[in-house]
Amino acid sequence: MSLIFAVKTHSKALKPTAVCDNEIDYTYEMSLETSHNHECYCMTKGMEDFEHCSEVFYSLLYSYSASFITAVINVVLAVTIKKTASWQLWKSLSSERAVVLISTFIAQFINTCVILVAVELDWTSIIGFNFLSYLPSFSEHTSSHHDPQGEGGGGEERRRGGAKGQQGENNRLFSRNSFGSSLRSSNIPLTTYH
Amino acid sequence: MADVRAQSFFGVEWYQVVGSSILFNLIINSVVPHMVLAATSSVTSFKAWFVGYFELAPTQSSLNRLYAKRSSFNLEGRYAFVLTTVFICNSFSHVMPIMPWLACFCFTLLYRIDKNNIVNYYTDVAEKKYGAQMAHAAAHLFPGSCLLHCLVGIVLGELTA
Repeated sequence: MSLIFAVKTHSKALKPTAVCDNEIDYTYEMSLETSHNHECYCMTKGMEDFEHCSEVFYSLLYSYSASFITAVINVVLAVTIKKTASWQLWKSLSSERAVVLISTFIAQFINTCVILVAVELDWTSIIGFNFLSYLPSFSEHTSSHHDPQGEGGGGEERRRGGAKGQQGENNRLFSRNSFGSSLRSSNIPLTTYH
Repeated sequence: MADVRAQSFFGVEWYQVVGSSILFNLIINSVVPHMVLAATSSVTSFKAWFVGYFELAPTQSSLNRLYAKRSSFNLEGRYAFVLTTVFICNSFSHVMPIMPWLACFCFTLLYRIDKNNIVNYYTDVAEKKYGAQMAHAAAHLFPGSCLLHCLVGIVLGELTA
């Protein structure tokens, strides 16, 4: 179960979630400004500029492949429950199958949607504390995963040793140290296109 | 304040991360079991052809068994799939109105493929004579989906009020 939880959380952390404005035509130059613009540019024109958007593409691919993993785990769960049910020595085959039915349903329901919703919920506003705090949330990644102008908006400032530059450096370090940040923090070429 | 909380629960990001994943999971879950069956039947057919073509079967009866080998109809798996789909679709039909239509698609797909397989592929459907326990268990679990449906509706109404 923890494996499923980790896969879901990891895929969620990597999935781009930028809310894009359909009326804006995101250009390559705009995509260099912020991570939000970068995601919107790649989600609208990712196929035209695959090399620039490979990071977002692989993030999406990974997050959707998690759904396939979920389906495979569902099949494995069903087979495992069916095989182990005979060990319980039920009096009749019908009773055994009924127990298999209930167990399979509960396992698949938890695996398919309960874990997904639980990972996303803001537990702090519900129960007062977040027992999932050791796991990263996507919002922690979005601000810093791609900021080509200086890893957190302080590239120039950092070169000058300013406070904003230090913040940018901290963001960059946080991004690279976070769980699931390998794709997010990969270097995107900035000047080799156009 | 309520709007802010509703946005945090069922905002755009929720739909992009959780909503789309649930929809995708449901579609994949409705297809994968049939794909597994198709793959296993293909392997069995190939194995039968291979053994027959190269005359690797030691006796005629072993060859007959290989040709007659079929997958068994998993009734409890079908019940579990239907219950899972109904529960998920009922739970999230408030926030994602496409859910009932998706359930219709999943059940239609299940019906069509199972109908074809029962006629042409499964050989043990008539042999299995189960009692009513499975149907009773499913019938007892079904009202729980209505309860979840109401619960999510109440929570959503509370958040957006």
